[in-house]
Amino acid sequence: MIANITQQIKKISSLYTQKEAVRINGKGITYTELNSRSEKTAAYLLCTMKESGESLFGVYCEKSLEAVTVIIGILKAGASYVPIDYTSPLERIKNIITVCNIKTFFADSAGLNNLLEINKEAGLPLNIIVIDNPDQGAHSENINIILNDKIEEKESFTPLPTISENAIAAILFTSGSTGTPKGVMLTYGNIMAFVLWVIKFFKISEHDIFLNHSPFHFDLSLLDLFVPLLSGGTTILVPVKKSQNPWYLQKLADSEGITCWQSVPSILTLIAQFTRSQDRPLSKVRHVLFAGEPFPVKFLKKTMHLFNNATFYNIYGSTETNDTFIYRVPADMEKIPAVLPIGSPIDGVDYLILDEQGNPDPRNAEGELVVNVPTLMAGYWQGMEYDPAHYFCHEISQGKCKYYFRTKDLVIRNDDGLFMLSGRNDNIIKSSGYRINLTEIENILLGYEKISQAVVFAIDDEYTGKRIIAGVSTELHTRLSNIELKKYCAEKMPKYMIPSQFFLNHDKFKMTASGKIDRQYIINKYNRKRKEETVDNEK
Amino acid sequence: MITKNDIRQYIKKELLGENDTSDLTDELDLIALNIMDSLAVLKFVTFLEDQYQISLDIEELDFDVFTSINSIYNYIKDK
Repeated sequence: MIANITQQIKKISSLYTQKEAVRINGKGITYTELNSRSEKTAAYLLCTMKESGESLFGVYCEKSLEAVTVIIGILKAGASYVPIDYTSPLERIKNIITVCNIKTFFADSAGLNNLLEINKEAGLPLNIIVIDNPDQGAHSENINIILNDKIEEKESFTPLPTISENAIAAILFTSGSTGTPKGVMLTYGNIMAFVLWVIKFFKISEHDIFLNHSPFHFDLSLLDLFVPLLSGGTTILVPVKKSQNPWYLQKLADSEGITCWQSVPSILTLIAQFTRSQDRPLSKVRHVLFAGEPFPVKFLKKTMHLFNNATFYNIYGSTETNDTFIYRVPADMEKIPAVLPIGSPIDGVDYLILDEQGNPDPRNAEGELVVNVPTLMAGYWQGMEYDPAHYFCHEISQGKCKYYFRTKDLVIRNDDGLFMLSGRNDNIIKSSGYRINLTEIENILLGYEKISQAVVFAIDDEYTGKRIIAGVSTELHTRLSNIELKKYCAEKMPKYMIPSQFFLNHDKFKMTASGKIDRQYIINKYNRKRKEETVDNEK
Repeated sequence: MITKNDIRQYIKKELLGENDTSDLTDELDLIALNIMDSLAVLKFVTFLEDQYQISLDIEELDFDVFTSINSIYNYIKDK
């Protein structure tokens, strides 16, 4: 019988009462404080849920001690938290609010201001619980602002509910092809299964101190948040403003005594590049986990010098499935292959490799990876049940399916049994740990009146892995600048999706025989132009 | 001593390429438009240190200092 998340938090809180559970900017809260404050939040929410029937709560704030308390409180109430990307354009956020029909938000002052802004146009009635000191002047017709003190007044003896493993704990939004983000529903059971695997695999104890780097809307945050809190360790939150500063991160890891580091490779790449000769090695770190995109081996080796006592792991997974494959990087650098494998399936992962015809022959050594795991999502928010676009039905007996999630990643199984990623069979790339749908960017660009055609593609970049380039065609004599296009994009898409360069064309794109835009022709044209520029610069 | 124009020239040359840059105002939000991404900030910090001997408290640096030409200038003019 798997312990339930909220029971486990209560148990840990009674074991490690005065120990700090969460820290940020040198301040922390103990397990006792976390437990009692989150119980008050839960008691408050249980009343709200009873009155209004709500079960989803938005969390729209920077990382803070309060934000963690709120998330735990929502879970204690048996509800679902919907973390909002703090940096996302307002239009996208409005979309999530409408799609999920969120009525109550926890927000900090900046989140509150953004919600007021969204409300100006959309007129959505919202209750906003402000978790820091809000600007008292802020008000709006449809918005009911509730101060956190209201929750602090709550008595926490309200009995907390027993929560089913299948109840939805979180909805994390990822990129979708139509321009509408897709909500991945994760259950209480999904999160618990994942946490138990991590604790066992990495031998996590109450002595471990975790770097909490990824934002809460990002799947990597599940590990940094729940593993330490369910094992009695401490999690060190990284403020967004400093999250890309490699010198800050090194200093933080040193001063807080971080033992487990998880981040996207691009952060480790920044550290590898900008570390200074006088920087001390981070010897207390025992595990470095990286996931979300390929890590260039030359930067990996450089980072290994800095984290001189750590074992490095390349982890593969997705928001929908959580981690499914793992590769332990050999300590002997000579033995590191030129391209890192994703390794072997983790405990409990059942997988199939589909050939080009979609057949799951066990002898297949190459094809699309499909997985069935205890951490597999309950589905997309308002998605079709077992939609064949996302699930593969493996007939186990007549008419009976075992469903596997289609990763859409192509893999190759080596002779030594290790798996390598070999590509995708759709228009999705991974950059800075984000899954980015290039078709979605094209569709958004086509919404701009001066653009008549758009082809978005990615080129390999030494530092960031991939760089997004947009080829756009406009009518002759149309004036269009890079900045103008970036401004338009910034209103419509999250920052990580904004193309780094626009390649303007004043003539119509060449078509293939089948009447589609000849993408390869545009990519070749761009590459030729780039080559010419490089030659010019070298002259 | 670095001027606003030096900052502008750096951004044009290193971050915007040869495209039309007449929209590059001193208030333009370079971070929101992903013109100043993390790599660009770090390269720029290194450039300031090497070319202008400006020493910044890099370990405590908030990246929103690099939001616009004005904010960059205000932050570094007295350093």
